[in-house]
Amino acid sequence: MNSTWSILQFLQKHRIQKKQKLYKLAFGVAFDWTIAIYIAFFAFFLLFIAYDELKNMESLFISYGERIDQWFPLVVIGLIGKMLALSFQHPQIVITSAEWKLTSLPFSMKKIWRIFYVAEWAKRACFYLVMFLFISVIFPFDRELLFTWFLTLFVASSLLILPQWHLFQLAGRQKMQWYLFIVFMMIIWRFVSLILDDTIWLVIVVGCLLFVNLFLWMKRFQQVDWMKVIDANDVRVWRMFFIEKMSDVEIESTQRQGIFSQIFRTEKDRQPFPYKNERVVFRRIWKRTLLKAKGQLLQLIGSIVLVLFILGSLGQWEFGLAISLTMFMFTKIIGSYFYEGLHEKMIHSLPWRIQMIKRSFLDWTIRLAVIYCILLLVAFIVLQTTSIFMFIQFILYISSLYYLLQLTINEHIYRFHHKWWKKPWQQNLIVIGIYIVMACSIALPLFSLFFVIVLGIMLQYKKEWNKFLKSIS
Amino acid sequence: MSLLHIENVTVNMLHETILNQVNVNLDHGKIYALIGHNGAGKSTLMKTIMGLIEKNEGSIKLASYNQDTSFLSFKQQLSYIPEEPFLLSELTAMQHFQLYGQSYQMKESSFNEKVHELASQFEIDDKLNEYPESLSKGMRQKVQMICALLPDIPLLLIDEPFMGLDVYAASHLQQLLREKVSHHTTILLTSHQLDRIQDLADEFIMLHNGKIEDAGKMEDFRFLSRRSEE
Repeated sequence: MNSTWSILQFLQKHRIQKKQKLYKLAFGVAFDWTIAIYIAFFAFFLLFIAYDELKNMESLFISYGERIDQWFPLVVIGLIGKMLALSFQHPQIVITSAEWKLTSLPFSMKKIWRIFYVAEWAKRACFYLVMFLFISVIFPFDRELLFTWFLTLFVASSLLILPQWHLFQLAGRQKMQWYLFIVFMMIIWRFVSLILDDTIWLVIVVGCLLFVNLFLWMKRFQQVDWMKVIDANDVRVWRMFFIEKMSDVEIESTQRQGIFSQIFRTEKDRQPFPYKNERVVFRRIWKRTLLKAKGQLLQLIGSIVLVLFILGSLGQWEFGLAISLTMFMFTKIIGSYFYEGLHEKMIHSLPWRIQMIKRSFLDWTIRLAVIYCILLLVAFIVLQTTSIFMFIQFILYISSLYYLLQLTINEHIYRFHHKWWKKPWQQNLIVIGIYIVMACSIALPLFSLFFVIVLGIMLQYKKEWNKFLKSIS
Repeated sequence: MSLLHIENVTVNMLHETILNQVNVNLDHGKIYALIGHNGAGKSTLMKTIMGLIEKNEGSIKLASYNQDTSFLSFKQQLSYIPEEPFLLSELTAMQHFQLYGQSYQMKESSFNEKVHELASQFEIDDKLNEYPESLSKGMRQKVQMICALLPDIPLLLIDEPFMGLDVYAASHLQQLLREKVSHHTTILLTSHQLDRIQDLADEFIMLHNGKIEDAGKMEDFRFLSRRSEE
């Protein structure tokens, strides 16, 4: 055990050193001494301000402290929920490819696992102790109550290490069954917590977790998919947000253990596509691109809502501006996914049947455009008085959206084809004109009649596009 | 007129010159071996031809299509097998073949015929509905190989074709490449297996530190000295 312990320490030491070097490089790129001194200066004052603010809120914390008991069962159930969610991506025992390579030397994986398991308990103990000390110094909570809280959280979260390890190994239907069973148990425990006294409830829950741990301890090396464990841990250990942003290199899992890829793959998904329907395969590829960006898409929707409602509530001109601004955001961001998708190594190495690829992309983006239009409609109804122009205004927005989306995607295509392609200045003028018309369309509804011109421009543009398609076929 | 014309291509990465004023001409229906030590720039040259790496200078023309000004038409003329297979985890082996077949506009009947022929030759006909993560590295390499071998195109680029293949698959591949060449396809490949390359290639191009050091008939190729001896 001693030699295993020292080799793991050796690995850990060098891992930390490598990370330090990376951070040093990244900080060197991001900050110079002047900026660093300014930030340190502001951070120092911020701490004082925060402490002062917290002191002012003392009475509020005391009233929270009196009511905090009722949240106790919910927090423990929340820990179980967190374990469930994480079990798709993180095995909890952080064995990476470096530790795995030790098994080709005279080191036992069982010993390595045991050390990491104990380390996980120790990490939690340290974390909850530091949190307890920090909160008990800063906030005026009852210390005895706080200690009970942190002790329980420590025990509960530590007893969830083994279940998460086991759940991570499961796949497909088996995982789903266990998942549903645990969700069902969480609901039951919540109801029981409403009936029973908190202490009795806690004894029952911890007792259950202890029993599960004893049961799983015997099975801890059964059904283990080591490659999956290593892949997930490698990503976790080496994915450093700041370094990724500075170097523009994203660490990705080679196996993609996401919930979607594991559970929602049906037998039908494995079947060959209808060969004659060419769009089906690209629709799947675009779905993948957009799912990868689901976080950013949600941010985009959130930003659209904020801009529409905040600017829109200020007045008619501002609402018009919000429409132009959100349409600009929407078309540019969606266009960038088209660009990104075609830069996927495999897709890039194929000859592109560009019209088909574009249409399959539009199949997805039209759904997103519908969401955008619904948001716009809701903002319209909430913020504006309905008029007879509303219908015409919406025709203007929908036709402009469609045209601008086409234009953004086609610009990427032109630039792919011809490295030095420049957007014609007339097109720039038309685009600016459309944004201005939309911005004016609320305060001056007659501007919406420009939709006729937009439709005319679209028809003309379609001819140009067809000419381009002919030239490359 | 040559099929592929590479003129004064330079690629720089992080202040380092990876390819330095490279000039290459490839004729129709021949196998060219790109030879060189690790880090000589072989894979970079392949990726630059594919457009996966942006060149800083020079021009690349394939069958009269310029990479810079007619990229979409340029791409229709070639197919690429990378050293490390880059398959999509969302598609099965068969779905990858379909993606390639459709992209190169193969007819359904000839596509099906070719897939079954190649899948049985490479012994993966029982894995067609499997996703890449459930295939071994060699199997994934075979899937990528079949993808690129499906279409009949003027230029085939192969980075380390025999890597990860068993002896039977490697020998099948050698035979298939010869067949391709008899149908006027030009092949540019890199490999460290010099004995196999000497049997297969018609001509060689030797890269050293990002520059073309030597080129000529394969039978005139003497040896590759150790990197440390230079």
